[in-house]
This record gives sequence, C-alpha cells and structure tokens, in this order.
Amino acid sequence: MDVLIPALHDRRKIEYVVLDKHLLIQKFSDGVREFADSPDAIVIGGDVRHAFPELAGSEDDLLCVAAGATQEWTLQLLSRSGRGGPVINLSAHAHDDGTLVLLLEDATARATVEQQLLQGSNESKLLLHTVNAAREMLDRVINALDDALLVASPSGVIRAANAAACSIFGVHQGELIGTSLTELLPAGTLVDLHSPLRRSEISAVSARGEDLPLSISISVICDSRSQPEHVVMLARDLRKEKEAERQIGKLRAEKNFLLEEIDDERHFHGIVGNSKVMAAVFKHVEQVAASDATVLLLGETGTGKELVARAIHTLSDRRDCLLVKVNCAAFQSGVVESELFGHEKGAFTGAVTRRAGRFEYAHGGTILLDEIGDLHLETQAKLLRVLQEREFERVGGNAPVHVDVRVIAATNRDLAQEVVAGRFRSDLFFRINIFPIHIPPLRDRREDIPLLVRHFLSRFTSRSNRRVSAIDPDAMDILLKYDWPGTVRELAAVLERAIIIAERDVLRKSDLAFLQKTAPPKRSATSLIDVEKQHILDVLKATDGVIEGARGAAARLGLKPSTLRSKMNKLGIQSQTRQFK
Amino acid sequence: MRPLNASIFKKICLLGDFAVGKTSLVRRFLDNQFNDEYLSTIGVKISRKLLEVPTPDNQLRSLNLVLWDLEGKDDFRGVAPSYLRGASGAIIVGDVTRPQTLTTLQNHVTHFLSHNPAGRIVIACNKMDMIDDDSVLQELDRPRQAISLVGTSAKSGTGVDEVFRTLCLKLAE
Ligand SMILES: Nc1nc2c(ncn2[C@@H]2O[C@H](COP(=O)(O)OP(=O)(O)OP(=O)(O)O)[C@@H](O)[C@H]2O)c(=O)[nH]1
Ligand SMILES: [Mg+2]
Repeated sequence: MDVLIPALHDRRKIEYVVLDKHLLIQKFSDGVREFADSPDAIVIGGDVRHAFPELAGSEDDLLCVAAGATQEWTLQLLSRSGRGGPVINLSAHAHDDGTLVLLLEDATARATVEQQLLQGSNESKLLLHTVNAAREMLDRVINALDDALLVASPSGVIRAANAAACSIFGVHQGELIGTSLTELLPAGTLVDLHSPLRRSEISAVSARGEDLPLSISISVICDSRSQPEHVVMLARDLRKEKEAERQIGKLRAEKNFLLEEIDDERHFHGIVGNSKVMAAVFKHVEQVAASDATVLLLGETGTGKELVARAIHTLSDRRDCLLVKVNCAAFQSGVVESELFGHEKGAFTGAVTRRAGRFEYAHGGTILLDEIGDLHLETQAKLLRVLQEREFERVGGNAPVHVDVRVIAATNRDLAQEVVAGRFRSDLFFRINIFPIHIPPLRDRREDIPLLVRHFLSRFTSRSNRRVSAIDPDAMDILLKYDWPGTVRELAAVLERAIIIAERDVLRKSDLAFLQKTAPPKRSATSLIDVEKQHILDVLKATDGVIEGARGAAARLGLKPSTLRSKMNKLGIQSQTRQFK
Repeated sequence: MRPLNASIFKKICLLGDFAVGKTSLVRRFLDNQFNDEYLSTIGVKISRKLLEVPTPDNQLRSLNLVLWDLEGKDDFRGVAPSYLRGASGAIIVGDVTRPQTLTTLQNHVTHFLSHNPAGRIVIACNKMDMIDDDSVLQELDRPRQAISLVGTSAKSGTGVDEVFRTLCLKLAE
C-alpha cells in the first residue's frame, strides 16, 4: 500500500489521506489541503472531519466500509467563494490493518461534461413535459368544443378531428381520418377548400341518414411560402337551433290558435262582443231560437241585424234549410211582391216564366225581412196573411201556396211611430212585435271596441297582405273616445282605411288623424256613405287608381272589380287613374 | 470514536425529481437569492449553515447543518444509499406544476426512511408562485411519515424558511 498510493498520486493526481479507525489523520498528500474546508486542520493526528465538515454524518458509513471494499461519492465540496467548490470523487478503501484510505480526485472537468449531458437530458424531459402539457390543454379545449373541428391537407384529406366532429357526423375518429373533407358535405355542395368561407349554411346528411343542417366555416393555413398547408373546417350542428325555431313556430301557432279560441269565446255566431248589452242580446237570441216565434230586430243600420238573424237561424231546428234575406227597401212597390211571393207566367209584362218567390225558397227555413218599415201597405196586408195562415198566392195566380217559414223582421225605424203616422199596419206590427230584440249601436257598447278592433285588424291584415297586427294605446284611445255616429261597419271602415295609411305594423295615433278631421260626426246614414266613399278613394290612391289585379283596389277591398266599379259609379267616384296620383 | 460535536452537526438531504427546485430552495435559504436559470446538480452539492433553534425546554441550540443537495432523480432507486445514510432529516421536494413529481414523493420518503429509520422529513411543494390556488396541496395525500407539508416558492421565498425551521425544530428536540 505504501507503494501503491504514492504511485496513484503521481500518475492521476489523486490526493490521499490515511485515517485510523477513529478517523484521525495518519498520513496525507500535500494536495489534499487544496480540497479541505479548513486546510490547517490537515495535520497528523487531527480529526479529518475538522478539515472536511462534509463528512459529518457519514462517519458510520466510512467506518462500516468492509475490509477490501470501497465506498464512493461524487461531491461538490463546500466553497469558500460563493460559486460552489470543486467537484471531487471521494472513495474510501478499508484495509485489513484497520486503516482507511480516502482518495480524493478532482472531478470538476468530468463533472462539467456529465453535468452538460444530464442538463441536456433533463431539459429535454422538461421541454417534453411542457409540450405535452400544452398539447393536453389544447386537446382538452378542442375536444370540449361543441363545434366540429376538422384539419385536412390542402387536397382535403382529413388529418385530425375533434370529439364533436365524430359525434356530429356520427363516425369514429378512425373513420374520419384519411377520408376527404368533401365526402362529409352533401353531394353538389360547391366548396372551394382554398378560399375561406364564413358560416355558410348547408344541409348535410349524418351517417345515420338523418338531416344534418350545418353552419360551416373554412379557413386555409399557409406555410412560410404562402402555400396552403392545412385546411381547417369548423362545422356547427344547427339541429338544436332548427328544432328550437320549429318549437317557437309551433308555440306561436298555438298561441294564435288559443287567441282565436279566446276570440271565439267572445264571438257569438260571428258577432263580436262581450259587453253586457250584447250579452243580453245573445241571451235573447238563444231563448227565441228554439221556438218558431217571429222575431223583430231593432237597431240602426250596420248594427249587425243580419248576423243576429243568422244566429237565430243557426240555433233553430231550421238550420238545415235556407235563411233567405230580402231587403224590402231595395225594390220598387210592384217588384217587391213578386220578389216575396213569386209570380205566374204572364202575370205582368216581362213575366215570361213562372217564378218562385223568396218565401217559397225559404220553405222549411227562415226569411229575414230587412227594412220591413219600408214595405208598402198592400204588401204589408199580404205579409200579414202569410204570418197568420202560412199561405199566399203568387202574383197573377189564384192557387194558394203553403209555406213553413219562420219570419224574422228587422228595421231601423220606430215602427210604433210609423203605425201612428199610418204608414204601418198596426195588426202587422202586433204580429211581428212578439219578440223584439234591440241591438245597440256601437256608442252604447264601447267595451266591445278593443275586441272589435282586434277582430277587424286580423281580418283585414290577412286579406290585404298588410302586416298591421297591433294598435298603439293612444290610437285605441281615440277609437274608444270617438263618438261613433253609426255602426260596427263604420268602425271596420275606419280601421281598413287606417291600415292602408299605416307605415308600420302597429297602428298609431297619426294613422287615425282623418277621424279627428271629420268631426263633428253626424249621426246620419250619409256619414256611412261618406266613410265608404272616402275609404274607396284612399284605397284607389294607394293603388294609383288601379282597380284590377292582385295589387289592385278591388282585391284590397275584398270586392270583385265589377262590384267596386258599380259602387264607384253609385258614389260618383271617377275611375281615372290620374286622379289618384 | 469521539463524536465531533455530535449534537451540533446535522446532515440534511434534499431529495426529489430533477428540476423541482432543490438547489433553488437551498440557495434561497442560505443566500436569499434566486436564479431563473436551471443548472442541474451532479452528484451532490454540499453546503453548510449554522442555525439557532429553540429546544423544547426553551434553550437556544446551535445546529451546524450540512445540507446535501442531491442530483434529482425521477426514480428514487437511483439515489445511492451512501448519499442518504447518516442523515438526520430530509426535505423532499415536488414541483406543483408537474403532477408526477408529487406522486413520487411517497417513494422518496420510504426510500429515505429505509436508510434512516429515525430520520425526520418535511415535504416542500415548490413553485407555488406558478399556480393560482393551493387546491393542489389540499388534494395531495401527505405521506404520513412526514412532519409537515409546506407550499413553497424558491422564487418568491414563500415557505422556504418554514420548511427548514420546521425540520430543525424537530432535529433540536
Ligand atoms: N417559478 C419558480 N421557479 C423555480 C422555483 N424553484 C426553482 N425554480 C426553477 O426551476 C428550475 C430548477 O430549479 P433547481 O433548483 O435547479 O432544481 P433542482 O431540483 O435542484 O434540479 P436538479 O438539480 O436537476 O435535481 C430552475 O430554472 C429554477 O429557476 C420556484 O419556486 N418558482
Ligand atoms: Mg439541483
């Protein structure tokens, strides 16, 4: 040993310290001092731990080194400068004689190389970790997307797809990768994979064959030479959205249906109204309908006498036969009789064939004699006979005709006064005044105005393609306060006119300005004609005088062109297109 | 053999995966400094610190700490027993930004104790400055043999003194 250690010392610059079993220094090479924390403590008989405090705690380990065995450490020793001391290889060799040799070799150079290798390996592991963590995060984000994300080659071959892509298209990821992007799109969808696309709606078909409405966006990612490198397609499943839209549509329809139902509840056989006075009318109608009693309907023109008559007819057992209507004021005296009772062939000039009268047509049903107050006295007598005996003779004939007809008479006149004035037969009056029903004018049933307005708005808008679906509270207020001279029909005419003027889908106060200008309203039949005339003029103006065709005035008014023309004639409106420009 | 001021010298090992911040914790503790650069430790880097700690009977006791900052190993079996033996305590370090460095903590604890059955252990969960909340610590199973588990940041200094002092208080008993 005495030869070996110095030899090592000479050849490899290995320093040494020889210790006894109490770790006291027996022998050492001078160079050892360079490594020691306290060089002065390197003395024969000194405790090695004073020189090398690094060994504190490792005493047992040193003393346990079995004879002939070796223990090794690579230590960066304590430094006296701040940068860290030299790295040494320290090995302990036990000898049979009980001595312990510590060999100290400067390993700084080797450690530097090893350090660089380890550093490289550790750094790449760290980098891998960072990359993996970033990729995991990206994967999580991409797979958490509700939208399908597909990355394809410039030729459209799919290279990557997220979880949403698989579930939306209903295929496994493995099936998606390698197929063409265009295969996912419906045949005939013209998509240029190299030009960006923003949220374009297409209808694809899922793997299960279901309709698959999609909103797709395509973007192209280019390399440094501006050549397309990746094509990225983002596809949003619109099924839920479409379903929601459908549901909304359904709910809207249901709402409208329910509104109509509510409306129907406030309608009585087409008569709109839920006011107290109207409720009384409806009650009377129901009471009298079942019987065969003659009914007298009293009320101003346009209050809806015809609708009430129809309600009575419909509610009666006669509903399967006709309700025949006669306007007694519409005929000249000679004509009205033959209208009512018919005539025999040759009864008068022009009576070339035998003709049945309205009473015959109404057999088994109901006849409505409107404006009965206008009937001539002779006709009144004939009518009285029908009412009493249910039979009459045709004009120019002798054979009695039997009829089973229910009579509903209607008038806007005060019949009692007509009797006093001698213009109406009192016996006929008593005969028809069995069950009088008074139908109030609009001004006596203002509560019904909002309901009527809604009713007419929906009727007119569906007829005229104009979307006026609501009315401003201010505008409603005007209608409520307006001193309605006449009738529901007048309200209808006002609304129809306002709808034409309206520029928005809500009727506004300004749309009813014409109502205020026509004040003070007169309670006369002429005002209705005026309103009608003005209304027709307004419509003609709106259509530039055009009467026929889908956009013409007739269509807007819901009339046949010929009817409109005759109305215009009657009202003195000239059909010169220029006039309305 | 006469012990060398046996009551005073204490070998403490710093163990854990590579780059968890063992060297940085020592540097913060000794010099109150920090460096963002990573220089992996080869073998073991030894440092010393004299620390005064109170004993349970309220005496002040000077501990001459010999800190063995070991080369990081993801596999605890790579740490040679000769580096561990003779240690009074260990600070086992994990990196809260790398979950797998936390799952190996228990292995390091067991390995250390197998060579130093009476050794004391404190766990340092380092790099706390890099995360927003300490739920990581709540969710972590503290190895039951450890005295305590402390969130640390060598960068900001948070918890560093606490780790060393907690361990040394036990060592002074
Ligand atoms: N943000 C932050 N970085 C830290 C912290 N502690 C250490 N680091 C950084 O983490 C890297 C590794 O730190 P080291 O102290 O060298 O780690 P080590 O555990 O000694 O590594 P090995 O010696 O290879 O085992 C370095 O870049 C440090 O700057 C910390 O608390 N916060
Ligand atoms: Mg280190």
